[in-house]
Amino acid sequence: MLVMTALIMISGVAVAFVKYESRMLFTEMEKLRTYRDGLANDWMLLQLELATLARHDRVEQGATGKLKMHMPAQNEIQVLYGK
Amino acid sequence: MKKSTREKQQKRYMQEENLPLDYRYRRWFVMGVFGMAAVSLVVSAVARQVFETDFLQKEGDRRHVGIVEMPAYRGLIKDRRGEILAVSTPVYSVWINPRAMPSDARELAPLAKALGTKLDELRDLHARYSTRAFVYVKRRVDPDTAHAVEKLSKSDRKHFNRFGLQEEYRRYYPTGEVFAHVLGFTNIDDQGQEGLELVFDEALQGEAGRKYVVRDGKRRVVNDIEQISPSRPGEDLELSFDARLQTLAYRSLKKIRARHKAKSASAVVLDVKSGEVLAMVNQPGFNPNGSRNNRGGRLRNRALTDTFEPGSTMKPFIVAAGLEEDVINLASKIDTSPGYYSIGRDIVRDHKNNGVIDLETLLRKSSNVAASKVAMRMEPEELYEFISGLGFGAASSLGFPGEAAGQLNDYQRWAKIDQATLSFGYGLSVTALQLAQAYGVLANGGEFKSATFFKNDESVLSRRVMSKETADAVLNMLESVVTEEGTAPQAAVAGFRMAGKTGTVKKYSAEGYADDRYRSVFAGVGPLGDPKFAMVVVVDEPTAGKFYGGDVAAPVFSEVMAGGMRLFNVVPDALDGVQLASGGAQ
Repeated sequence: MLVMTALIMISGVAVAFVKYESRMLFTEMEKLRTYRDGLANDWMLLQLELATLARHDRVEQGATGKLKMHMPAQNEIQVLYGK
Repeated sequence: MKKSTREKQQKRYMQEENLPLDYRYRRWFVMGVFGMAAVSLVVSAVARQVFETDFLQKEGDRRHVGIVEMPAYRGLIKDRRGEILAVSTPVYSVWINPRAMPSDARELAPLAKALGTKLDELRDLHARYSTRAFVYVKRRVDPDTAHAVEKLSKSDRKHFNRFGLQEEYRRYYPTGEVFAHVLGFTNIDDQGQEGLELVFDEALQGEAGRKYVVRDGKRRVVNDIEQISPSRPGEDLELSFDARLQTLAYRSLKKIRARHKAKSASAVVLDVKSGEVLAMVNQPGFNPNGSRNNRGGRLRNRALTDTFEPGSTMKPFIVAAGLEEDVINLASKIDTSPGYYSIGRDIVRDHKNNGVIDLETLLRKSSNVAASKVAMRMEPEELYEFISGLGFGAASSLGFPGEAAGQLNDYQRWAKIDQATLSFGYGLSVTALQLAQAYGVLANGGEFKSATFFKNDESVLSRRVMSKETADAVLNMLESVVTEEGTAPQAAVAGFRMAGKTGTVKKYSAEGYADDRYRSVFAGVGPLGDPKFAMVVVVDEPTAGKFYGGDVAAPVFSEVMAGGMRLFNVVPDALDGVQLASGGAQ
């Protein structure tokens, strides 16, 4: 009986402790999650910026307009045969 | 000091013994009251701890413990090279609490200024929702506004929770209108409304998680306690499209539609070996980041939702069917004189009398009479089986919202003339995608691949429709169409052997087939050395004079295919006119 009581006491305290521990860990995790979300948001904004700046018509405009490039015509192309 | 205290105590005891009787009763009374108080404390403690514990705990939790959703990110949509086509970015919405916020101008003015709205508008809103505790003032404000409001709310600390910012996600499409029809869009709550956003809404959305939090008296979250269910972020979609080719196709189509003042236009490019859709564009388009009204059907993905009679672009399949069913062979000659062919009361006509022609000439000159004669040699059932085997008359496996199945009537309901008109593409209707799929069969050595929007999709259906010999023979005949002698010299691509077929289809209306309204179609494949692409271009009602498929639709084919060859590093297979570097080989 005494042993049982002691065991119950111990397990009760253990439950409380573990619960406490898990809550602390969860708080920690939430903090990290918030941090991660912040980073993910930044990443998405950067991706968006990248996609907007690297849009194909924009690149092409830059190439043909600013850099005065053009698609090579048939008579400007040389085919190299290699092995 | 100590001593004096004890003395006092002793003194008190002594006094007690000498107290009058009244005082003794008073003492018992006071003791009794204390005793009863103690007992009632114990009783109520027991009652609360033992009997009411559930109720009280619930009430407490209701006041301080709340469940909060942990939102899941909506997945990205990327093209085959990983380029981003749709992304959810955080944006902020501004809300006020009209119950806590006074409505006088002095308090509202700074907020109105930060938001860039009129004070009166804000007051109206305040008046309209004066009993609520949460009202959006402006959703999805730009970052500068959000910043201004945040600053303002920090200086307004002493009145907590009067107004503030709420983080939300907004879908943004960097490629704009180029992918608009395919991707569709989401609504203000980031749920798919159209296109692939709708089809794969569930997978993209993921699953919001839930957690317990502790709140203070003002409902602010103080602490996270426990996770109930984890949030599952949405899956990313990796599409088969190539954003570069799609952009090229879109621009080319837009240019052609403007030049020919056409009502609408569509184009589809498939990878013939895998069934992957590499590009799918339509005109008119819309900007998915802006307003989304469906004026003039601009939201429709016409390449899938709109059907048309394929016209002469059907003829290669009639020749292929004839070869497969052995009613003709590669050396067959067909007599088309006198330029028309009577079937019962109906007459099939050519533009002119072509005389006796071979199969290649049938396709090059696009002879209705010859195609009809080939078709009439077959059993209706054989022809029907062959045509439906190419994927006509059945919705594709894409599962796109609003996708049309097209129409291919059952052979048992055919009149004789129906069998003939089918041979030059009237009496059945197809979508641009179905036509591209069917041309893909010719290019893929006779094997049908169902179209897919996904890269390396293993669920693609594959079935043999015709022998490789037949497919290759028909392709070689179609090469002559893309020459000066054929109907579509403008479809040629320098350095590559291309094949294709034009179609100029009279539009059908309530009064029958119109003589002045056409649909210009071009369907082609290439390069013939090792076919990679199948492409269909449909231009609806060009009104600027030209209307032949070879004049209107073929240039789009040529332009997009030339770009496709370059983008996919396809080795040229027709090197006439290309300079070979002398001694440059390694």
